[in-house]
Amino acid sequence: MSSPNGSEPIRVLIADDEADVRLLLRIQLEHEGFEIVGEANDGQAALDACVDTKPEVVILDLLMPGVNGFEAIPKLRRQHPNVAIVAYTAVAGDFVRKEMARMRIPLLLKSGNVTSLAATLRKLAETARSI
Amino acid sequence: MQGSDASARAAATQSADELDAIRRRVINVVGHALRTPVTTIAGMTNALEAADDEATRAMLIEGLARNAQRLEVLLDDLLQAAGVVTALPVDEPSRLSVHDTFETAWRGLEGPDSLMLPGDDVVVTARATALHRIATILLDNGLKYGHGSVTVSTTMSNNGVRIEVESAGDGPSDEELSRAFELLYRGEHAVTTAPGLGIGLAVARELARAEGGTIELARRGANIVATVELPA
Repeated sequence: MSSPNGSEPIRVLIADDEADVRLLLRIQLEHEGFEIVGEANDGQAALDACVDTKPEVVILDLLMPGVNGFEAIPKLRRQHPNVAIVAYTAVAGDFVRKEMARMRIPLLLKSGNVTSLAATLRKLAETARSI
Repeated sequence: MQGSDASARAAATQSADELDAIRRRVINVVGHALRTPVTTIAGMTNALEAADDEATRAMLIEGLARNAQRLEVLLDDLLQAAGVVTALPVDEPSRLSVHDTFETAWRGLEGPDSLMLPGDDVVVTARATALHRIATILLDNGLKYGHGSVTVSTTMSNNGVRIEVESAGDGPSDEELSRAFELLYRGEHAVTTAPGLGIGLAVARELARAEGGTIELARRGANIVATVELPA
């Protein structure tokens, strides 16, 4: 199981409006040893799911109907300050890159290979667990 | 003469800049729309090789088929939007149930929200491929850009059959609404809500015209209504 200090597996929530993206990430990340504690199809569902599932990291798509990722970020930070966020998006122009950099949120482009995503999740969880 | 040469050069430069901006915009929106299905197919292929149980393999194979079909639809839309005749439906017009067509399209979208079909069903004369594509585009827009449920109602009109697809939610601004049928146009509301090409409504309008019909978009209170008129 994936754990930064050989302890419990890292608890991850997947927020993406594409069901196939959620399915694929769940299969790939579970294979990497992560524990997928929940899925959400928009920002509000992600906020609600954080209450019940207590993830350590949220993988957050930025473009979603209803409450989108941009709107969800400040709410997640306010309501769940201990939950780390990874922005996961199909494309990222200058605005998105600058905004994520300003908020110090790791930004990853969607990919069929989860190596970078898994490394980022481990790094965030390791940092959070060391505090 | 020198003055007119300078004007011509300036006009040519401006024209080249505009063409370059359009080219970048097209590449950007197409790249955006392609990335999710392409990366999903790539990821699912790798995951399939690693999967060690039948249930996971079955889910991945279904996912691969869904995303391949999505690319096929995207390609048809692009060709159709570019006016390529080969992408237009070739089946013969037939008598089609509006309820059946919209319910089938809804199931294909796997929307989490409910589709409401109040009132009686009506029958239209159209190519099944075209009506299914129009239904998919309008329902998909309702799902992506609305808040919750989508309602499809049908009535007889002077020109044939009127189909209204109504989705809840504040949706686009008035300017965005007025430009919604422009090819590759994506307003701020669309850009910040869901990925897309900005060609769905343009394609739907062309398909409706080819069937002898029309499509309009309007605000009704807090909702957005797409109205399709087709021959009965």
